[in-house]
Amino acid sequence: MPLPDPSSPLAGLTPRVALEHVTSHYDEGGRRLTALEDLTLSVMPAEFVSIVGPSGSGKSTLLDLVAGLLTPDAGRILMHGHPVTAAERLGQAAYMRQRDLLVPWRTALGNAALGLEARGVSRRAAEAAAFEQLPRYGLEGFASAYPNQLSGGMRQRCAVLRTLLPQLDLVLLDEPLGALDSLTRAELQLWLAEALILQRCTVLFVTHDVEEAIMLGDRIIVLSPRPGRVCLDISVTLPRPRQRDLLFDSNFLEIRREILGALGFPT
Amino acid sequence: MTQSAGLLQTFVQRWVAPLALLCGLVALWQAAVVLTDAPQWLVPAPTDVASALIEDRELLLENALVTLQEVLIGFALAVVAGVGCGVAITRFPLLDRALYPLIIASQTVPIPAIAPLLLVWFGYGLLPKVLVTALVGFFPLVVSTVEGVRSTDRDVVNLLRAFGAPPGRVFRLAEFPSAMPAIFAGARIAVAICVIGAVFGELVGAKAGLGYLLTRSIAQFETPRMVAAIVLLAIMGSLLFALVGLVERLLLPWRRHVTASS
Repeated sequence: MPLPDPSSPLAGLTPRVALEHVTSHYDEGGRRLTALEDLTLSVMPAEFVSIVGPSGSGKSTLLDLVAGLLTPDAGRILMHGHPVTAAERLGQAAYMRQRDLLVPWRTALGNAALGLEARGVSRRAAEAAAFEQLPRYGLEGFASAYPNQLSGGMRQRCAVLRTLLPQLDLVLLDEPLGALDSLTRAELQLWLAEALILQRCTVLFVTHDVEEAIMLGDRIIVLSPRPGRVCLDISVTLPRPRQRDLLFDSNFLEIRREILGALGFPT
Repeated sequence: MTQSAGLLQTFVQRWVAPLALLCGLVALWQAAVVLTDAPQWLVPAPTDVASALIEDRELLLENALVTLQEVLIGFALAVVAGVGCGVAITRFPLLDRALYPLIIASQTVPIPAIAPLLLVWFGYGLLPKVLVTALVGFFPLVVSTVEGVRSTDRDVVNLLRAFGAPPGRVFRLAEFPSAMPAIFAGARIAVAICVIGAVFGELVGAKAGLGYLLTRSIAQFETPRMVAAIVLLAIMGSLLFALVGLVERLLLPWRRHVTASS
């Protein structure tokens, strides 16, 4: 697949990922349910898109589709403007779920290296690369600790390192901070956003936390309850780097009001 | 508390109870024989067994080494074939559909029925005993390998696939290491029943080994020696079982941390 020339003035105008009229079904208890229906969405390179929606609105299905783990039942998915099959999408995106998915038989260092190793890098080279990054992720001195010897926040930072180490330009995050307590979460939010912006990643960030979505995103997509459709698409123009005190900014509150309205909460 | 004191305490807690129970049972046995005045050829007392162990030590050791050799070779074959087949079954759906049901069905064939056949085919030497031993140990290893690989966290597998890992790499990075504890559980069962397999192979027809010594001792009414051979078999089985556990601890150091926290 030809990659667009990044120096071309048009390069920035081709979406990194685009979903066109995508429908996806799944089976649950013998019934066929529709997770996403006729969903159209495009994400520009280096754009940070937050996706919010009630549970069952197909947020995780959306990420599985982009990752190549699922094939849409209707519609198509484009990368850099070209339609691609699920098999071709595998290996394009770094994926991180709510569960940190650290494997118990590897140390923190070994787990951090796993993303690179999945891409065919030797264990030695992958661990050397991960080792250099440990201090930035607050894991210095914990290289040989096993996952259950780490705190929740450390486990999650280790999972973030595993996700970002291969330096893929497309990152899919499915409630990556959802399992953490609110203090650890607030601390990691801005840190994660900075790490992603620094790598100039295109990010699809699924969350059910509206404030987190605004805090981190350039743009927010609100999905409707099942079957999921885009019911609000709004840009966030708040300056970066963002700080916690934005929570009381009038622009922030206005966006928050609009999203909660789209989600059906009285405002 | 120092670490060595802690280890000592764990050791005492783990071993005192079973050893005390064993001593109690042996004492009860001794008392029963003395009280009923049973003849030695019918029910030998623990003291008779002990003196047989000492007097016939060379004969017992010589035959124990033969059995141990059969068990070790047979178990090694069972590990290679069992884990190999298990891995192949999980990797190739056709083998899963064609071979796995046959392997499971083969367990309904009693090994005692096969042992004489192996004797006819391969004679009185080492080979038929090794084959019976390997056949017996094969099944738990295949099943534990297949089940171990299948119980790998699907989300971890999908994560690696999303990162671009082809099936072989997913297997090496996630499915196989994830299956290791199950494979070792299967190996512990296999090594214990391999001892039974080797003895069975010897009972059918042999020129040496503890199973051979058992049948010969019964024929000669040397009951104390026969019980001594059984005691040696029990010790051999326990030591091999413990040895597999030790190898597991060395190869899977992370297991200690998992059990320590859960």
